Amino acid sequence: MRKASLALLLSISCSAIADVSISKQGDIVADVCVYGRGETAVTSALAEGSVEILEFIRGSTLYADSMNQEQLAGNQDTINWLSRLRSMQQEGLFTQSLPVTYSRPRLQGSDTCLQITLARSARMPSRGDEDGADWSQAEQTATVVVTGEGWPDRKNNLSARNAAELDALKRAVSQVVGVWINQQRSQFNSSEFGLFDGQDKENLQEIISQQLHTRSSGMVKEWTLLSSKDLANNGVEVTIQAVVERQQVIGATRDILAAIGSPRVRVQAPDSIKNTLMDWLSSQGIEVDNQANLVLHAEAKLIARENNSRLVLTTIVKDLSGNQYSYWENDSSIIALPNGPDAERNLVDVHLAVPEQAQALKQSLQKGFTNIVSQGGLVHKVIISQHYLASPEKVQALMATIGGASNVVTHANSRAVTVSLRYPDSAGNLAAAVSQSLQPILSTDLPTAQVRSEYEIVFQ
Amino acid sequence: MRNTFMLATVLVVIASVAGCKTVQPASQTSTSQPSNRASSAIVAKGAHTFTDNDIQVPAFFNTQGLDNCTFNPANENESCPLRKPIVRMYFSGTDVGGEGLGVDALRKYDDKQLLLMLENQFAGINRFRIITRDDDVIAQEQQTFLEQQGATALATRAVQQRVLQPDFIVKIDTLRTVKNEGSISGWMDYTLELTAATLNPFTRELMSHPNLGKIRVKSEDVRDRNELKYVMANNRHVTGFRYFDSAHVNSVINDMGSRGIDILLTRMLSEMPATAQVLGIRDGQVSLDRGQDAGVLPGETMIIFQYEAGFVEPIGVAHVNPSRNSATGQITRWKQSSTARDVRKKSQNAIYRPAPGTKIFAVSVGTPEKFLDTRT
Repeated sequence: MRKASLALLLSISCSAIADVSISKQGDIVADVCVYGRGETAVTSALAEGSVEILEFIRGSTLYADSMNQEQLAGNQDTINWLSRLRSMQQEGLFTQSLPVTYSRPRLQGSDTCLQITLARSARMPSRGDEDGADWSQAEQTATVVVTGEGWPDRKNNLSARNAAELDALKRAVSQVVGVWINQQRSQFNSSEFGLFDGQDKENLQEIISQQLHTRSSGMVKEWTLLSSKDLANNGVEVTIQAVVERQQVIGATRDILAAIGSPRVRVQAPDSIKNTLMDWLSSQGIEVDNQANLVLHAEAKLIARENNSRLVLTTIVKDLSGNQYSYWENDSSIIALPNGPDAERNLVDVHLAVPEQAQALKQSLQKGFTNIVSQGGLVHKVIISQHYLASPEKVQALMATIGGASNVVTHANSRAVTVSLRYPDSAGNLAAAVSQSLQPILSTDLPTAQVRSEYEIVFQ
Repeated sequence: MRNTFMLATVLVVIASVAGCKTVQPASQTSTSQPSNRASSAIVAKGAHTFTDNDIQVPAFFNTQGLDNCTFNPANENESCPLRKPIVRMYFSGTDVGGEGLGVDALRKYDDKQLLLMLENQFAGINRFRIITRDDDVIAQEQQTFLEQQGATALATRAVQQRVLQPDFIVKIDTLRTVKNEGSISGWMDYTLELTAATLNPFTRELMSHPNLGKIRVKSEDVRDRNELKYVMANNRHVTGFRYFDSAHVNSVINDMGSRGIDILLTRMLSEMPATAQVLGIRDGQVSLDRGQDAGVLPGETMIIFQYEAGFVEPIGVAHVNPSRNSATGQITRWKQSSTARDVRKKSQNAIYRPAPGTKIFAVSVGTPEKFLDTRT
């Protein structure tokens, strides 16, 4: 009776709510049927039901006028609740979604029917949700507490304590790098991360930290030993509080990211795909240079089956000395086009226009560039004529002292000493560093280096 | 004493004979000769012509409900009866061996077009989801799309809608034979035998269901014998049917293949009948919970039956027409049974809905009566 009287009174205000009623529990229930089946039909019914319930709430404005005192007293709870809902609706708190529940769908002819309920007990949205986070300002330094472990290292003449402290300092810098990367990714969508979409954060953090460790000093402003304990095999674990020069770390990290993210590459590809590929690289912020040490080698092969062809597109990132850093192959199953003179060009266009393919190629290139940095830079070849050298046998040892140089290998013949090494900076900077480092063993002044390419430097 | 002895002896002999009574063999089988007659199509009778005895539940009905369905064909639940296996179809290219009159022309027969026809016809009965093998049309359309909408639009579309992965392949094996009758004046006699198999190409398992048997089509089913007559002189063709001309032979084989496909379809519809649950009955009108989406065809003859605890009770026969995802039908004859009478009574001037625990289903009898007239 109570249900009937309320429904009657409420229906006075809005003719469109014929299927909405108030249940015995005092919940608002809408019975809605929509044409169709499945999730789409359920979603439509839910949306329609929500709208009808909102209409019902809005239409409830006239209820009090139509009730006598007795009815008013008997339904006071419901009236109060509807009143609250109406106020909330007027304040726009239901703009996103109504906290409704719905029954199991039932089929009726071609229709799917739902019973949608706005329960009296449903949690309503509140204004309190809008409270924002308190963003801290960027600071010059960052203070972190980290733990490091170390064991005696006779090779580098380090005690266990020293090794543990170095480990802790490295971790302190790494932690700051990690936090910065996270912030950049989540808040600013920085262009520095353009090529790193989807890159594993831990991997990137590790590579950058490793590079910072090899090339930097003074990243930690000060540190304090908090505790220390002995480990098995004469090891030591220390916990320190370190103050890291945040801006310095960020600056160095940016440099490394730039080296990884926007290298210069030489494109080796058949004419049919070269221009398309170069355009695409340019749009990704990768500079194309015919003198670059890094080569992007691409091949396109048509696979014909009867009257139609598919495209197999491969790219290899390698340096001029032949080291391969990454390999990518497209998903040739995506599309086939009729055989013809333009088939290859059309297929390349389509494949590079597929977001997933472009992303995969981008990731492959990024993997290649990251590999180069993590391996200590590109391989360079330095050729030094024998007549400048008083002690050619010491070339390898001296070149190994160049900051950032690694994998130094020499090969000598009667005319020249050829040095192969990895170096993370440009060929010009390497030439200058070589000139300086070889001073102690020169028989005569070195001439100005001929930088034949980003790969090869010649002193002759 | 002597009499007593003789009586005892007689009794012993009788008892012995009784004990040695031989058992007659059971008669459970009969002898039957495999036939090489041409196959014919079998279609359902119209619901109006059913008698009371005809109202029986046919084989292969499926009483599974729609409870587990998502109603999304691209992501349908394994246990949903609306889920249809995705198949790719093949005409197995059986070579025609041997030498002889007309053999070369028969060997040149290309069944690609027949395959495309088969795909189209099978797609229409909605028992499988077919992946077409018409690569040329697809590639041409994509080329046109590229020219009109551009590479980005084509790339987006191609990635969003990848080619379906087949669950099975449907393989039609064909055996084509030819023989000539007569000498100077003779006629060609072609035979096409079709068998269909559903198989999993990865496990190589041949599925037992649907079992469509063997379909045999003879040239005399599609051509009058006079049309295949020819005259020879000095061992050379003079006039009549050009048995050596592949275009002429293709014409005959195409017609035979087409007829074979029609028969295949009718068998498929009997092997895989459409089953739907009855949502309600009112004044002889039945409302079904599925329609075209479950393969219910226009003018379907369906048996309405009650299903309870594994037992079926026929109620009547209905003439059913589908909408997209439901169907309605009219019961043309009620079964003479107490159950049917009860349901009929309850559904007069009111919607009868089966009680919980009892379900009423409708199952198609086979190929709709007018299917071959309107769809082949």
